[in-house]
Amino acid sequence: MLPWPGEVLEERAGEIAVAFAALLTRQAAWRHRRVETISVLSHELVRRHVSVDFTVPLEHREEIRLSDTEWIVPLAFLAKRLLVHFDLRAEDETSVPLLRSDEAQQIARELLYVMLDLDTEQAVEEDVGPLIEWILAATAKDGPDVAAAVDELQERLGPLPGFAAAAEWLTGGFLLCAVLTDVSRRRVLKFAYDEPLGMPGRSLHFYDAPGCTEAASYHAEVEVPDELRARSIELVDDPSGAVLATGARDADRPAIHYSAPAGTRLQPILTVRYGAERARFLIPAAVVAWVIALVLALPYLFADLPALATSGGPAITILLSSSAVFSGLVLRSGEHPLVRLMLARYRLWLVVATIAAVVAGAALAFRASEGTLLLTWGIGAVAAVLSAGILTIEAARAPAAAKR
Amino acid sequence: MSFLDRLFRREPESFEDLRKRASVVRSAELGSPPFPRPVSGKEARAALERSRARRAAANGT
Repeated sequence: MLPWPGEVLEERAGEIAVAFAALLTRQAAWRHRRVETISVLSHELVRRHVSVDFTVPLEHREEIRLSDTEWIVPLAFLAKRLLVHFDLRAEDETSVPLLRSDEAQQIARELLYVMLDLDTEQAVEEDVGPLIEWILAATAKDGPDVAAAVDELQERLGPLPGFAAAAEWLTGGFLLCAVLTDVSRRRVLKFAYDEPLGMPGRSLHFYDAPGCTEAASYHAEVEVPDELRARSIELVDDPSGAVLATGARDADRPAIHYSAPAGTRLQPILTVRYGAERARFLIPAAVVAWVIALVLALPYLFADLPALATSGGPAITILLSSSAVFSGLVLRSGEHPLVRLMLARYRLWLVVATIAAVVAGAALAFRASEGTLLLTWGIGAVAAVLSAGILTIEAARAPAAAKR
Repeated sequence: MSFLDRLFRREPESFEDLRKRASVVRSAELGSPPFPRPVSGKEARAALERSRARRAAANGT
């Protein structure tokens, strides 16, 4: 009777773990390049596309063979949490099968035994067997308890650096294993998933980049929404703040390249500072705000407002109300959510200028008292000039033409 | 001065200041475990065989 697929994996898990022990402790030696593209979907969500370019070393191809036509390749290490919109594809965009997490656990179990035996030959199965099963079944919240149990084991058996590292790794995560039909050549596999943004800054985002040291060469790109630019992009080691790589400024698709020295221990993050393009909103908004400011300030300084209320009130009111129409042209809808978020405070200043114009016009139209007229127009003029000044400064500071 | 800083959103200069302003988007991927050294296939195979023998002995098979 021929074995069923699940039974084949059970039989082959040890052999595969032997190869994984070698492959996972020298990831940059067989993964040539890793490319990550981060697409900002909204102010709450990004999609991360990862492509891994690798060649399985000849000496390990037989070990990772599952059947005559299937080979198991460890692609990445994923946190034990729900993956959203996950997708794994080959070079020709065909879907690639994955091991289920319980299947990957069979290999992880053997890997833990291998790592433990490399550290010590004194382990007693009655002690480590339940611990290994606990590690495999654990979730991230069990991390401290599992770590304490591993420490206790190390007190009894001496340092177990390889096992402790694998145990910490497999407590919070699982191996993402692709099932390939050909490992005789260089391959490129692509996977993608959505990530919640959590609590990003308005213009500053930090993106975790743990895969930075897992290939000989690392590339990261950010797909910036229309109307925005990446003012700066840096790859930074989070604990030390050391800048590892810097990309072009004011780019609409900024990129970083980094090759980590062998044995480097880093917690890299991508730091991206976004800015709204000058020409799309800020310059038109500043122009509208200046028009409103002049329409309010010049009559306030040089005209007899109480007289205007009786002679030219309606015409001036229409003129001032028209500024609200111009402002409306600048206050658009249907934008990328991140653009809307970034422009919110600038829009607020334009709204301030527009309200100042409407209130001043209303004071004229309703023939308010002289004191009220002067107060309304004076405050309105100051507010409009302030708004126009801020929008002008922000437009001057904002990124201009496209750069790549 | 701080009012003007806020008004024109002058950026903080140090990385520590920047980090306080936003949380990191945690990737679904985890970083590599800090394995102390590379393991060769030969070493791993020998370890697997020792481990299997020990487990078989413990299970009485």
